[in-house]
Amino acid sequence: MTRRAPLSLAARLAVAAAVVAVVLVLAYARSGSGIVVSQAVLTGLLLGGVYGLVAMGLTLIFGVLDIVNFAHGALMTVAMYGTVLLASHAGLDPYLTLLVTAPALFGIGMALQSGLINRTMGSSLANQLLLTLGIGLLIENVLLLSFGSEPRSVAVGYAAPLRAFGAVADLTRVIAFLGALGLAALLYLLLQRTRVGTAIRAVAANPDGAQLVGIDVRRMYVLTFALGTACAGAAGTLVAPFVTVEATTGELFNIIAFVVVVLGGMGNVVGALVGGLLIGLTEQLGGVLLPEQSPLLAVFVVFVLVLFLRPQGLFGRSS
Amino acid sequence: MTLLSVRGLSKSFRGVRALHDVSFDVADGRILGIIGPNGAGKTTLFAAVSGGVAADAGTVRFAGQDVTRWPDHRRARAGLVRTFQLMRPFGAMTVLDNVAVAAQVRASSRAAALAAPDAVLDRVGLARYRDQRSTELPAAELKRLELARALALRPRLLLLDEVLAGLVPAERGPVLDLLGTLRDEGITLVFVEHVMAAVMRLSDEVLVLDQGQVIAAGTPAEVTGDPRVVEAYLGDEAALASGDDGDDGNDGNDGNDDDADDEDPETPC
Amino acid sequence: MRNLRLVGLLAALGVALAACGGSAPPGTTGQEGDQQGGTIKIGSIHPLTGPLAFDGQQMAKAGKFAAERINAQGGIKSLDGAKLQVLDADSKGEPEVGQSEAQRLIQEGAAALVGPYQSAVASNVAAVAERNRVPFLIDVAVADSILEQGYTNTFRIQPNASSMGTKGADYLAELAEASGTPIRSVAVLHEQTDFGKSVLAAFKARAEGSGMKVGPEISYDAVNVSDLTTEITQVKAEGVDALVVTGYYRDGVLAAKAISSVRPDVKVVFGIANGAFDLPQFTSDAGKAGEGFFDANYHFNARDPEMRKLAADFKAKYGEDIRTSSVLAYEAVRVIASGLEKAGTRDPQQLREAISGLSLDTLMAYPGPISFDKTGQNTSATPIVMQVQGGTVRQVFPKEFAEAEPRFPAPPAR
Repeated sequence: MTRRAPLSLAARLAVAAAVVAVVLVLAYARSGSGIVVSQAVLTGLLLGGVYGLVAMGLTLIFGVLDIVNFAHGALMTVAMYGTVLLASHAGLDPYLTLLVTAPALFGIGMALQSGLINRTMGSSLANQLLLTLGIGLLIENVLLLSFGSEPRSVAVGYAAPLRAFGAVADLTRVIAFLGALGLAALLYLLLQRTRVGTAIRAVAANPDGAQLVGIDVRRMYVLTFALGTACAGAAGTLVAPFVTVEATTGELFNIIAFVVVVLGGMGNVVGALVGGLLIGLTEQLGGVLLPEQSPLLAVFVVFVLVLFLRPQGLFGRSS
Repeated sequence: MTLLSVRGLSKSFRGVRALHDVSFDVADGRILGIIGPNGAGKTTLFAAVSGGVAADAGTVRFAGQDVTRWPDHRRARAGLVRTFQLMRPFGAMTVLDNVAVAAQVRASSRAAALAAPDAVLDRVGLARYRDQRSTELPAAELKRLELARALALRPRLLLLDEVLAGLVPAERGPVLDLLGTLRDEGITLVFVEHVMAAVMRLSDEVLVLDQGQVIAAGTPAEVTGDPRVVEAYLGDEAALASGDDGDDGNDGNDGNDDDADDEDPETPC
Repeated sequence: MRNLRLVGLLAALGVALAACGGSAPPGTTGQEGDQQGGTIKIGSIHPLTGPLAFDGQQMAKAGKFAAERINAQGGIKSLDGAKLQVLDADSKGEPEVGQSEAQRLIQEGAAALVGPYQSAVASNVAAVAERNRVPFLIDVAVADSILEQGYTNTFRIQPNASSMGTKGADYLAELAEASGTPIRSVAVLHEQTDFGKSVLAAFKARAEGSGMKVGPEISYDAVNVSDLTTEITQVKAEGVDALVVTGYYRDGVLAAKAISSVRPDVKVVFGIANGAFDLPQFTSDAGKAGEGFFDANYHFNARDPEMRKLAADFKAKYGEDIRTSSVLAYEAVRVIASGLEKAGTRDPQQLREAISGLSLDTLMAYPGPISFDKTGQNTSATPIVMQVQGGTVRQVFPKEFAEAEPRFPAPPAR
C-alpha cells in the first residue's frame, strides 16, 4: 500500500486560508458590499461557535460509545425549556440558569445511559439507532404535551447590538459564542489533562484494552454520555435568549451538528469546533454567494467536497 | 503463601466444553507455565482467571479474596493483570500515553502517575519510542508495549498470554531476561507458551492442559517425562524435544511455531 | 432478546406519544342515531404535532367550537336537528399523512373535510376529496395551484397567494400615496418554498406595474434558519425605500430582531402574508423591534361585534386568544353547516352543490360574504392591512376595517 506523504500542518492551513480568501472575494463580488461580507463572516463565526458546542457533545458520544445519538437535539430543547421556566418563574438571568441546566442535563444523560442505552452496547447498530431515535421522539412529545405548542421566548434585559467592522451582532449571540468557546476549552482540558479524561480517551481508542488496564468501561460510557448531554444542555441555555423555543427547536441544531461531526472527523472534539465554525461561515457566505438558494446548499457542497478530499473528516484519522 | 487459587473451574461455549474442573495453585513469587496442544483451553483458562469471561462453575481466589464474580477491570486494579496475544493498544495515543493510562489507574496522585510511565518504558526498552503513535510500532515493540502497560499497573500476578508469539528467535532472549527480572522483583508470573524451551527455562512449575482438563502438573522435568503429556502432544514430539532457548539465531531446529494461533477468548480454544 | 424488546417498546412509546396529541379515537363521541336526527361527521385535518402544532392545535379547537355552538343552537334544523361531530386528525405536517388521514376519515363516514394549514398537504387532500367526491373546505393553504387542477369538490375561504401579493402591492402603493411618502424601491425577504415564491411573484408583477423597482429578492430556508442578520445587512447595503417580508412565525421574529440590530434605512417594513407580524404573540416575542411593522394578511374582523364575542367565548373556554387561522377553521365548519342546512340532505354531492351556491356573511375582514367561484375560490377573500402600534396589532387599512389610522412612513424602531 503506497502512502502519499501527508501535507504538513502548515501546508494544510495555507490551503484552507487560500480557499477562504477565494470565497470572500467571490462573496464581495456577488454582493458588491464589504459590509455584507463582513456581516456574513461575523454572523457565521458566532453561529458556528454554537454549532461547534452542540457537535462536540455529539462527537464525544460517537467517538467513545460508537453511538449516533439522535436524541441530542431533543435534549438541547429540554435545556431551553428549563431556561425559559427558570427565567420567567424564578426571575433568573437566563445565563445563570446554566448552573442548573448543565448539571440537570448531565444527570439526565447519566440516567439514560445507565438505565437504557448501556443495555444495548455491543448489540447491533440498528438497535442503538432505534433506541436513541425513540428517546428523542419521546422527549419531544413529552415537551409538547407538557408545555403545549405555544412558542416561548426568554429575553435578556441588557441585550444590545454590538458593532465591529461595519457589521453588527447582538450581545446575546456574542455571549453564546464566548460561552461555547469557553466550554469547548474546558472539555478539551478535561479530556487531555485529567485522569477521567484520559480514561475516556482510552476507552475511545480501545474499549477492550481499557478494560484490561482496570478502567470500568461501562462507567466511562455513562460518564461520557452524560458529558455529551451536558454539552447539548449548555448549548440549549446559551441559545435560548435568541431563538423561539418550541418542542422542535433542537432539531434544527441536531441536523447541522451531525454534518459538523462527520465533517470534523467523528470522535474528534477539536474537529467538531473547527467544523462548526466552518459550517457557520459556509451557511452565511453561501447565503450571500447564492441568494436564491437555500444556504444549506452551500453547506452540502462543502460537506461533499471535504469528504471527497478527506473521507475521514478534517481532523479524523485515516484508519 | 498461595497468591492464586483456582478450584473446579469449568466453562462451556454453546455446549462445547472448553474447561472442565481445572484446579491449581500458584504460590507468591513463583512462575507457572501452562502448556498443552491446540484447543486445550489455555486461553479460556486465562480469560476465566482474569475475568474476561465468567466461569460456569468453580472459584478463583486471589490474594485471599474470592474474585470469582469480579469483572476484569476490578481484578486488574487488584493486581491480577493479563496481557493479550492480540495486542490492544490505544492506537491514537502515543506510546507514553498508552502506559500513562494504565499508570494513573493505580497511581495515588497525579504526580506519581506522570513519573511512572517513563520508568516503565525504560525497563522494557521502549524509551526511544516514547512519543510515537502506538500504531506505528513494529510487532515486537507492540509486545513490549503490552507488557509495559501491564507493568504500569503494578501487578502482583501477571498472566502472560503467549508473550513470545510473533518474535523471531533472536528477539526472544531479551524478553525472557526481562521476565526473569520481574520475578526478582516479586511479581508472580503465569504464562502460556508454545516455545517449549522457554517454558522449561523459566518455569518453576508447569501445568499441562488437554481438552479442557489438567492432565499433568509438576516441575518441568517431571512433566516432560510424563507419558500422558507425550501422548497428548502426539505428533508434536519435535515441540517437546526442542532445545532452542533463543540465545543464538542460527539453530534451524525450530519446529514449534504454533504462534500463528489466533486464540480469541470468546470461542473455545 | 431483552435489548430488542426494550428498544421496540421505547420506539413504540415515542411514536404513540407522537400520535397521542392527535387523533381522537373515531366514533367515541356521539353514536349514530342516539339522538333525533343523528350526527353528521366532519373530518378536521391539521398539524397537531410537529413544528406547526401551535396553529394546528388551535385550529382544531376552533372547528370543534363551531360545531358545539351550532349544535347548541339546535344543530342542522333541515335534518331534524342533526348534530355535527368533528373528527380530529393529525397531518403531522406531512402530505402523505394528511392524505391517508383524509382517506381514513372518509371511510369513517365524514360528510366533508376541513383543513389543513399547509399547501402541500392541501394538494394531497384535495385529490382524495375529488376521488371520493366529498367536499373539502380549505381553511388555510395559500398556493394558487391547489385550485387550478379542475377539482370541483375543493373550496378555499382564505385569499390565495396571488391575491395576497397583488393586493399587498396595491396597499403599499396606496398607503405611500396617501401619506405623501414615495416608495420607489422595494427589497423582498421571503421564505424559499412555493409559499414565499408565489407571493413574491404576484407582488413583483403588480409593484413593477405601478412603477416600483423590486429588488434584491433574498430568500431563506424558514425551517433551518437561525439568524437573518446577514440577509438584512444585504437589504441595508442596497439602500431601498421599503422592505417586504413573507414568511412564517419563527423567522418573522428573527427578521424583526435582525432589523433592530442592523438598522437598515428603510421607510417601512411591510409584511405580506406574514405569519408573524399580525399576531399578538409577536409583540411580546419581538418586543420593541416589531413596532410599526405592517402586515397585509388575512385577518378576522376585529371591528365586528360578533367576532369580538367569539373571541371572548373562545378565550373563556380555552384560555387562548383566537388567531385568524383558527377563525378560518371556525368559518369552514360554519360553511359546511350552512351547506347542510340548505341542501337538507347528508349526501356529499348535494352538499357540494349547496356550498358552491352559498353566500354567507363572515367574521373575516372581507368586503363581502363568502361565495365561491367556479374553481372553488372565495371571491370576497382579500387581505387587509394591520400595523403594530404601541405593542398592539390594529387593523389600519382599508378604511372600512380600520381600528386606527395607519402611521406611514414607519421606520423600524431605533
